[in-house]
Amino acid sequence: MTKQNYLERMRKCLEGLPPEEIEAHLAFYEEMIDERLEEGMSEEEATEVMEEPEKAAEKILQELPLPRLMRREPDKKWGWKEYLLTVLLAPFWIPMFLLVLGLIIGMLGMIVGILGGVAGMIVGAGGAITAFLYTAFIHMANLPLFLLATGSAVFSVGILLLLLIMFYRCTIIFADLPRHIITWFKKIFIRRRYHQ
Amino acid sequence: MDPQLKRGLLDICVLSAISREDSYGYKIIKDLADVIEISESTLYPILRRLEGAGSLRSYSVEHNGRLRKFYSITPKGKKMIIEFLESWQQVEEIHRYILEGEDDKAKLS
Repeated sequence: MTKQNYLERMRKCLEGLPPEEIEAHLAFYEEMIDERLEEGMSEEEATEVMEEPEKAAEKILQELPLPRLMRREPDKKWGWKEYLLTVLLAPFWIPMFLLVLGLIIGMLGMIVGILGGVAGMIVGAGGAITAFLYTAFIHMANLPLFLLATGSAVFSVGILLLLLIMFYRCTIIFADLPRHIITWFKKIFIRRRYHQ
Repeated sequence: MDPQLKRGLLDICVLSAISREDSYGYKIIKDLADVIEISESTLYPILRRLEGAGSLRSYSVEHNGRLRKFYSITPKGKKMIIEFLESWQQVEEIHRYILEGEDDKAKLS
């Protein structure tokens, strides 16, 4: 493929971005090809060793925040056909919209739940530990009871720590989940461009 | 190499490459080739991200009738390298610990 081909294919994938931004992206790849030409490669060879223009464009688009990626769609004028289609497809997109809304609310609920869970554990275990220590303190003369209460307090601390570690682990997994979902979600908007 | 690990390392590699002397895209790739493989389509988003974060600056220089974009490191970028080196000591300790475990196992068998 020639240098012009390479840059044109890339430009097609980047369509919808502000023109000066597209030029800046293409300038970098043009420089990369020019450097290789100066080393004595032909245009064919230079574009051959480089990653495909569509792949390169995808990597640029993946770096964009999701709202910008979605805004990239050109604003089409809505005619009666579009309105009719919107009404006819209502049974499909309304549940879809509710699903997405539900997922977002669910995610928020999960975060609130985790915070609430941690707070509850600390308050609960804290109360139990205080109660055990108090029992141990007032029954210091009664050795078996003293040992039992102290032991229970230590046991409670252990349980609390164990649960906190488990929660911490779960949070790490959940924290990574949105990143995967967003990457996948962005892919939809990037892919759609290729096939147009 | 684990892709997650490589992602984290690449930013620092790029910063280190331009911290020696101001450099341009193709030279960065060639300079890094011995240490870590990086394609232009991987390098480009990194350069943009680092520039956006203020870790590097860019300027254009005329070369053979065209423009060549040079990148130079900023104090913020230098700080990132220093922080990386500091956190790496911890990684080395972990490495030593893991190695010890493997040595012990080798002795037992």
